[in-house]
Amino acid sequence: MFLKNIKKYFPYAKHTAISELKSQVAESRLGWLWWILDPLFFMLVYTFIVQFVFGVSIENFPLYVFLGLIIWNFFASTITSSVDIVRSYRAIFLKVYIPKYILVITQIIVNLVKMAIGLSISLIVIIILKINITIYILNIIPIALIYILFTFGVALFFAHFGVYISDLRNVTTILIRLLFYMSGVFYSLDRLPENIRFIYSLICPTGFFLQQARNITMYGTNVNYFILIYWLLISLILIYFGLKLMNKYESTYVKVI
Amino acid sequence: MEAILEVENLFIDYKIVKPIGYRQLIRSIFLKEKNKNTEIFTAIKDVSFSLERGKCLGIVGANGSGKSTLLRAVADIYKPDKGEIKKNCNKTSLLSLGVGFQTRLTGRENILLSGLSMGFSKDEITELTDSIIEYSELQEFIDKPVKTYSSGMYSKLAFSISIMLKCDLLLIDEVLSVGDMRFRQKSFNTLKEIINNDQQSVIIVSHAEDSLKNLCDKILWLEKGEVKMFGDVEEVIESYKNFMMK
Repeated sequence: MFLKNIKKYFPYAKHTAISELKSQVAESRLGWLWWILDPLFFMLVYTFIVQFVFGVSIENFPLYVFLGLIIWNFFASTITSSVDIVRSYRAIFLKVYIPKYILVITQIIVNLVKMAIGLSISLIVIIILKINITIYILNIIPIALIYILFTFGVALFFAHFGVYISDLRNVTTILIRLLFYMSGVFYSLDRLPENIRFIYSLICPTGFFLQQARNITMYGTNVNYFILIYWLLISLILIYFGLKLMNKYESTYVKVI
Repeated sequence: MEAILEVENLFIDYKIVKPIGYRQLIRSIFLKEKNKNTEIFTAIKDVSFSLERGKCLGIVGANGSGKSTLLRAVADIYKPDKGEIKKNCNKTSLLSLGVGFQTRLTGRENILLSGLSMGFSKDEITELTDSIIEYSELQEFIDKPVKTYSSGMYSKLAFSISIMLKCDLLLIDEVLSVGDMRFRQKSFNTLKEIINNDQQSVIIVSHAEDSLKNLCDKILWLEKGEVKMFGDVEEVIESYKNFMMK
């Protein structure tokens, strides 16, 4: 049922995403450059604070932060926009039936395009800096896939509860900020003791994905497959219950908002 | 003749849940306090009717009698709370005032997205895009964001999309008086053509009784969510007029 609907509505999701990207480009003077400029400027800010104010040194720190921001932004933007996605598409839902999770997928496509651009730039920088690239870099594909599934699962819940709880937007902003500081976007998790690092990987998804992505690209080490599969299972469970929840309540969404 | 749509003992409820703040949410979770914000309002009560392929049904009734709710239920937007809606068609198009477009996007993008959301393929839509634009009389505005459109232009575009993409079942919610006089005449004639051919079926909600007399084969009269009368056009409209004048 789910897969059938994905097949049926994927063209709609794809073209909605394309139109959305286009209109974001059209609405600002620098257009798509902002997708790079935004993480670039935050990279400068964090580099300044961490390296010069706190005096912590990490090798290739700007790249370290840039990569972190690119990957973090995918999760953060998808969740933030999912909270009021149903509200902002109300005019469409009053005209035609579309499974509501299709809109979450639209947001994932939009943010995936931005992440892909950022990752490509990071890769170019890695080559320029002559960082050793190992075969492990191919693991970016399973990591990205599970990261997307995880984001989808979480976004489903935010999209559902965002319809009923008007304050969820504010709560989300706080939660996202909290998770950002937990995820080690601009500091290294090596500062944590070994045994705590393991527990951390099991409770902080974004931190885990960030760390793995850096390991395979910047440090040429392999992925922790055990924890990766653990997050795959969690993602599938989230998606299963998220879809169930949406299917049950989606016909009442338009009556609420 | 085969029925394209059968509605049997349909009930639609509105659970009026006001969006709640987190304080109330926490209270309702931890103190098991009953959420006072929910009340149930039944907008459609035990409605049954059927529509044959190629026919046109008109729906009349006072404001708030459940006409729009009924159309949305037929378009799958609301699920029946009780009863059943059996449809024997692939594509349904609902046309109502002021909904259906993403206003940040251009008219052209919205044509594509509307078509895709109704289940047409990209090629089918591309083929018809030019005729939709021509029918809508929007000219160069088609490449401007929909938020810059006047309400007349908005309705004209929505109407053109619904007309040109051939759906089996066309649901029209009080948009018979779209646009200026010329466009109104044109849309009325097109609608008449659609009704006269046997492929597409139409349901029209309207307060313009004369147009309904002109277009419909049958009339359904809703009163407070219930069927007051269903049948012959002249008869139902006369009784409805008498009832409203009282």
